[in-house]
Parts: sequence; C-alpha cells; structure tokens
Amino acid sequence: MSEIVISGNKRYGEKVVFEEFSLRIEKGEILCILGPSGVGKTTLLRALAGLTAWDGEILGNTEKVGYIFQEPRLIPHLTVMQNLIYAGAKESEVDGMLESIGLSAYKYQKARYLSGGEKQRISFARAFLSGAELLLLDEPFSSLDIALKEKLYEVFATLWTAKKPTSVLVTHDIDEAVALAHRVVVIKDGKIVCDLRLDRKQLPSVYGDFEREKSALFQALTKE
Amino acid sequence: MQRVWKNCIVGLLTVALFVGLYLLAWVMAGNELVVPAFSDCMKSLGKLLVSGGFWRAFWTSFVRVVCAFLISLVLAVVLAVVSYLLPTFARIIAPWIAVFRAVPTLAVLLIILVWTSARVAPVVVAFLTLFPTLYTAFYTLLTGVDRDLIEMSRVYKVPVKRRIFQLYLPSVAPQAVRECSASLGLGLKLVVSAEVLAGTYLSLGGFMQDAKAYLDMPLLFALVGVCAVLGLLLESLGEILAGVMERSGR
Repeated sequence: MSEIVISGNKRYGEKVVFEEFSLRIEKGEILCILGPSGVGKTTLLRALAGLTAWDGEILGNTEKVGYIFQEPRLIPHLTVMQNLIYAGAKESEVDGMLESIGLSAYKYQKARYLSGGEKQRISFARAFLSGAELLLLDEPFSSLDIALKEKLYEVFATLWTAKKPTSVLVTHDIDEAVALAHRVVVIKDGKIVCDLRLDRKQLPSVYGDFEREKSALFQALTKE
Repeated sequence: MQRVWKNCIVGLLTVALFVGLYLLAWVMAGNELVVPAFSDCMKSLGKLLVSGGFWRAFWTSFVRVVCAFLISLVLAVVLAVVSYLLPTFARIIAPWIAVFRAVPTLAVLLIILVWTSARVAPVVVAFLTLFPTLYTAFYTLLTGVDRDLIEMSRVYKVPVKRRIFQLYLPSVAPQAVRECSASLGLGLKLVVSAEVLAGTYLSLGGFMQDAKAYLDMPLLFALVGVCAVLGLLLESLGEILAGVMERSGR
C-alpha cells in the first residue's frame, strides 16, 4: 500500500466542480472530506472508485476498493452470507465478521428482511471482507438515527482497527468527521480551504473531544 | 387448505357463469347455426378428443407455436442483451422494432403465403408479432435491473458470471417467464388464425376452416374451446412458474 494522490479537474458540462485540484491521502489514515452539499465530495469518491471520469491523475493503488454507499445496496434476494461472498468475501471469514458486528444470527437471512441499520452493518462488513486496500465511505451514517449512528461508529472502528485500510469518509457533519477521522479537509468552491490533522488517541472519539478543532472546522465551513 | 377450497369454489363459479352466459346466448339466438346447443358442442368435443386426426392436427399446430416462440425468444434475448450492452445498437434497432410492431400481421400473411407455403406461413406470422413483443419486454426488464446494485458490482469487480446468475437472472426471471407464457398464448392465437386464413391442411386452423365450410357449428365451437383452454393452460403454467420463482427469491 502507498499513498494516493488525486489531482486534476472535473467539469459537468459548463459547470466547473474542481479546477487544478490536488489531494494527498496518506497510507493507513482515515481522511474525512467535509463540505456543504453539492461541493463535489461524492464526485471525488466516485473518481477514486473509477465510477466517474476524472480529467487528471490518480496516483497510488486504487485497484482494490471497498465502497460503503449512503444506502446499503445489498441484493435483496440473496442471504447475508451470499451478499458478502458476492462482493469477494472468503467463506471462512464470514462467521468471524458477523460475530464482530453482532449479526451472527442473520447469516442465512435474506437481505430484504433486515432493518436499515442491520443492512448498513452488513455493507460495512462487505467492504472490509472484500479485501479492500482503499475504503471509500459516502455519508454512510447520514440516514441513521443518533443511537444507531453511534453504534455504527463503533462497528466501523472495530473493523478498521483490525486491518487499518486507507479510508476516505465523505460527510457534511462536523461531529461525524471528528469522531472518526485522523485528518479532515474542508472543500469549498472546488478548493481545500482547511486541512486539519487530529491528534487521535481513540476511535471513535468520545463526547467533548476536539472541541477546538470542531470550532475551526465550523469556521472554515461557514466563512464566506 | 382453506385457500385451496376458496380457489376451487371461485374456479367452479367462473365455469358456471361461463356456461350460464352461453346458455343465455343460445336461448336468445334461437338458431343452432348461430349458437349451437352446449350439449352438441360437448358431444363434438368428445368425438374430437378420441379421433386420431385431431391429435395430429393439434400436434402440428402446437409445434408451429413452439417453433415461432423459440425463434422469437432466442432472437429477442440475444438482441435485447446486445442492445443493453451497446446503447448505440439499441438506437439502431429501435425503428426496426417499431416497424415490426406496426406491420398488420394477418395482411402480411398473404404476401408470406406467396413466398412460402401454408405450412410455414403461420410460423412466420406468429414470429412477426412475438419477436418485437419479447424483445421490448426483455430489453425493458434488463434496463430495469437496479442500477445501484450494478454499480456496486462494478466497484467490487464482481465476475460477470456471478453477476449474471446472482443479480441479473433472479431480477428478471419471474417477469420474463410471465412474458414467455403470455407470448405462447398469443402465439397460439396467431398460428391458429393464420392457419384458418391459409387453409393449412391437418391443423387446428384447417379443422376450423373445414367445420365452417360444412356449417358444423358445434365442431367449430368445440375447436375454439380447445384453443381457449390450451391458451389458458399455457398462461397459467407461466404464472405458476413465475410465482414459484418469486417465492424462492423472497
């Protein structure tokens, strides 16, 4: 694994989303891209995953990508285990993974019968079991209630700690960024307006941590 | 068990209603040449079912339906898949499909009769209607497969074979089976109609044409009944199969 650098431009027709943009993602870090809606956060993730054309360079290993989408995107007629194996999981690793996310009892359950939170936990498991070296998270907590969100932070932290893949989390929620990231960049008008490294002791962080950093991020987000 | 009884009662009531309406039509018509007696139709049907000629005619008509259906099915599946993979091809083929759909099939039969024979023409006529119908159905089904799941499969670099068998086929199969059984029913109607017009020897349509020529109305009604029941059976079989597929996917 090596660092990943994405640089170049992105346009949608006449609209310029990124111009002479450059972002370095360090090996084994959780980088959070923070920004208001419509700023191009998801476009960056999709470019890294090869789902969107990017006018520029993407250097580094982006071959083995795990993508956790905003919605779980499980195949409804397949069981939990079949969904995991479909995306490249090894059968021998499934039991251990389901146990670590507390869903062992659902191994043979069809995905269509799971709740929203359970589905999202499985989509996390799918990304980690796929052998991804680059993990892309596109606001995966945004549609969940606060209790479920915190539970999923724990799930993510447990899974990430075991393999420590390079991860890029996209969100517009400062608390979420601070809870999980090693580094937060704020994007506005196609440019990085703030690049902040957090001196992280634990993952996820607990309530009250990084108050100063939160305030700096808030200022970066709201500054005209 | 209760559901089975309910279905039986509904089935019996439907048959009773049909017989009742037929008897009403018979009384109102008051002419055996317009609407023959139900009992006469049943007698004709009984004679028909024990005659060897009928079964040979039934078999040849059925083979024509199956041939037309299989040719349409294979071509429709292949072209729908190519159209799905190559949008430019889909745009090229779209006007051709529109022309196929617009062709007045039975009128074209006359031209086809000049080009081919009365044995082949019904197959061509059925193909002309079934192919565009099946192509459109399969293409619509393929384009309806969840795009989010296709994108997820791309991200995780899921092998093509796995995508086909675990994503595409289960997503389209139940509706595809329904389309096929409906097409078989439609194919039967078209083949028999074409056989009637072409006067095809030793076929259901040919038998109908003979019955009409000899004004044997009970036989004509019995033959129509046979075709209707066969069409119903084909459609019901497809519905049952699709239901089983859907339930196994749940």
